Amino acid sequence: MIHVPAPDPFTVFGVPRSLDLDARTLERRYLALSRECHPDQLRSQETGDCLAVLARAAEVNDAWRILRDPWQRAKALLESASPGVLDRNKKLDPGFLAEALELAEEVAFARGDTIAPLRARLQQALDEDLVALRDHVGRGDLDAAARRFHASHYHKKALQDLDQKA
Amino acid sequence: MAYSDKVLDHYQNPRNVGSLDKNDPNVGTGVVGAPECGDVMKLQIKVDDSGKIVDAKFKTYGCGSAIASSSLATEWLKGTSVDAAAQIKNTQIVEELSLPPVKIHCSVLAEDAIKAAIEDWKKKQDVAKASGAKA
Amino acid sequence: MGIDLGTTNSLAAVRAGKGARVLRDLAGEALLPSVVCFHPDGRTIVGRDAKAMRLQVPDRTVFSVKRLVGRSARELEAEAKGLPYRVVAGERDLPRVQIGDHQHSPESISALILHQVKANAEQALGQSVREAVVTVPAWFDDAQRQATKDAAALAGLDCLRILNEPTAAALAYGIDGTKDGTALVYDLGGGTFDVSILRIEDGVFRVLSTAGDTHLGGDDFDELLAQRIHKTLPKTSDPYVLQAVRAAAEGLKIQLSSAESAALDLDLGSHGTTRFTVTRAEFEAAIAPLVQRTLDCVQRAVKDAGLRLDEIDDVVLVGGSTRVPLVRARLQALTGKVPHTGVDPDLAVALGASIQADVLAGNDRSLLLLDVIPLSLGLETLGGAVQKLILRNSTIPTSVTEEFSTGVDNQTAVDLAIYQGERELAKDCRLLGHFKLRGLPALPAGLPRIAVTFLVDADGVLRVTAREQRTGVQASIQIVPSFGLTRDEVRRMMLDSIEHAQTDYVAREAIDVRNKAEAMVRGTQKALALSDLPPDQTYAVQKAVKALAKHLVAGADTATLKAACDELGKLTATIADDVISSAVTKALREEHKP
Repeated sequence: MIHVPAPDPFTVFGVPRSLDLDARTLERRYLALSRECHPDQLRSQETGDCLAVLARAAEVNDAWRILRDPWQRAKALLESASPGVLDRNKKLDPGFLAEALELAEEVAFARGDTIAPLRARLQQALDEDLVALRDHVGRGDLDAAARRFHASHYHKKALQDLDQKA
Repeated sequence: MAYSDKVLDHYQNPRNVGSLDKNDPNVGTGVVGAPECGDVMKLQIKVDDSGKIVDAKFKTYGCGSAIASSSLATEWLKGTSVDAAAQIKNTQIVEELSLPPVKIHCSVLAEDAIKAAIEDWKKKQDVAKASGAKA
Repeated sequence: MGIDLGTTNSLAAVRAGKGARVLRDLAGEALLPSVVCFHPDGRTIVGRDAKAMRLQVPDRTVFSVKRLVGRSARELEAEAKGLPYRVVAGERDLPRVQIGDHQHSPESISALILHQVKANAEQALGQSVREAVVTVPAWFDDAQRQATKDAAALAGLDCLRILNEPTAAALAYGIDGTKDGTALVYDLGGGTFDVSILRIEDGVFRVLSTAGDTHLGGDDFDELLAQRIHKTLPKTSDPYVLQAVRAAAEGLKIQLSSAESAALDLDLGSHGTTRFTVTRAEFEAAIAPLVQRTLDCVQRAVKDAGLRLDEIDDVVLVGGSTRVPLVRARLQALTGKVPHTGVDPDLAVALGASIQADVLAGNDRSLLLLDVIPLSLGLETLGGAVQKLILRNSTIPTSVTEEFSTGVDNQTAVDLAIYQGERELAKDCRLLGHFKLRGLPALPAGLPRIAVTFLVDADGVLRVTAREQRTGVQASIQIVPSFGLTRDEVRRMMLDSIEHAQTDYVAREAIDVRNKAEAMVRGTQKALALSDLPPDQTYAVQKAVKALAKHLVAGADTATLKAACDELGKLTATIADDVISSAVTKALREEHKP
């Protein structure tokens, strides 16, 4: 089973391929597109139920799901700018991985008072990942951006694990 | 049922969890990760002068299959030679643990960790030989 | 028209001006009890009169059928034991309600309820109704949605949309869509619980997340009280006693919503008598764990929406069971918001559904609903794991395309097993069915590239299409559902219901006959134009049509209209056959269209 990628979300929304898109503008764009494409709005024209209309509405919804999330948006941007770039950069620096392991260990042993400061640290690390990723993309270094994207997964997972404990 | 008893056993009673001194010249350390799922695996081996692995430890953060794969790997490593260890394939782990296809990447991670640990140990040996030769 | 097909009660509403109104029957009642009685004298009774039969013919009086819809007999085994009527396993392990020698599918019983709702509505409106929005719990899965659609079709309704109940209720609360904000809809009905988080903005009602439990509701509160009553009685499985105790328990629960304690004297004749008293505190202690389960769902929904509890602007209560004081108190304590009670919790869903029906009819384009799929969809991969294709809380319509190939040379078919649920292993999810791709070009193994698109439509129902990429051949897809009816069964039952409509149902009110007569006049004229009957027969039919039309214009009484209809019916038997078979042929042709 091979996943067939959905149409490029930036194209579906008609917005520039960028990580710096205003959240409010995107949301407005989504609502406007939904009014245009949702089968309910076309129902009276007897086309509301046909597959093409449903497929177009699905495209809009799926593009919105990607664009609203900065990480998924970054992933879509990297893949459309340089197909395969994420697969090629899966190997991360062992030093970073050792740190990730230590973080995971800290999460596992976090109790009571130590949870809140650890969460703040992880959130900060994640924020830094996004800033760095944006910088890499800005400089055109997509390989570094892809590695940073992968690295952020460890921070995300640690945060998730921490939330599950709380 | 998709998880075999062996996976559950290794997951619930993992063997050889812990760390060895990573600065010991006879210890090789491999740290590998699978970024898609955020799994990370550290595997260490301690080798004696005859090239036999006398101890192996691991620390893994990830799903049950990843923990089981690394736990099984350390069991196999202990008492075997470095050369034989280098021949361990992920498919052997899949077979032994009856891992479902969606979890095959966990066994790949374990194989990568073994290779990385051996490589690290060899590097240290080369450095030691080089400095030994100098002395 | 909007129809709330409830576990306990059903009702309909229509859009009226800027608002909406519920439709009431001749007695002025809006709620039709979702109860069907197959009386030993051959009558089929639906609604209030059927509910009254619960004690007289308990084993032939079916209630809470919504709990059976879209499920397997095995899944229902434990639950069926507590029911006074018999649920047996039919073909493909589908549940069947056994009444005497007859077995009824849950869909056909739901259809009887919908049919009665339709008849009452037509009476209230003075005109026939064909199209409706039918509501379901947001937490219903694909099989349960499909089964509800089938029930609507069997009842002669064109189902415009399967709408989630909490979403419908939100519409009823913010009808003009001008009150922007984030709302939490807490919907505790007779048999199901749902919670949805919605963002309302510029007339767009966007569901952010939903959570729930299709087997948790006021019926369970009744059951807990019933168990306590049973403890004071000799042990029995007599259907009469079970029904009587259940009815008594429901009465106690209602009393406890306003009183601090409630008492009951139950005389069950040979099965004993009991005097039973229960305080509200005792009742609340008994139901507290169930209420906590609903609050857990609330917290999950808020989290899935990416929000905190303090970011919720409004809390809306829906469903009769939200009248229980403990429910309101706990929800208020959790959210810190006083729940809205402006719209009758029993009516909100139907009112909202009627608004959506109006939108779908193209009368109102200022409102737009964006709903989500409640449970993830996935495919079984080798080894019994499930690979998720579409994640829960994805806005619908949504779609995903995956490419498959073949494992053997010249393989022309591929089977896919599709599951719904959140768990990792297939055995912990619900198997919705098998999709069999057929008609692939014969090519060496691994060469075909079959792109399969899984699309969840605006009803939350899955549609699958497949195409071989190299040759462009459209693969045909045969769907074998693991729950509910196959397309063939639905078609067969629809024909049956056309043929037996008159004998199956309660004697109709005058309006029904009138509607039928009008339809016959129109239908026969159409059919005459299409069929090539000999001139003498054509003439006879035309004469009967004219006679019937004359009676209609003159406002003739029911008996006269009926007689004239029958006369025409006899004459047109041959035409009817033709029309039905050509309709079937057409339907079959459409089924095979990609």
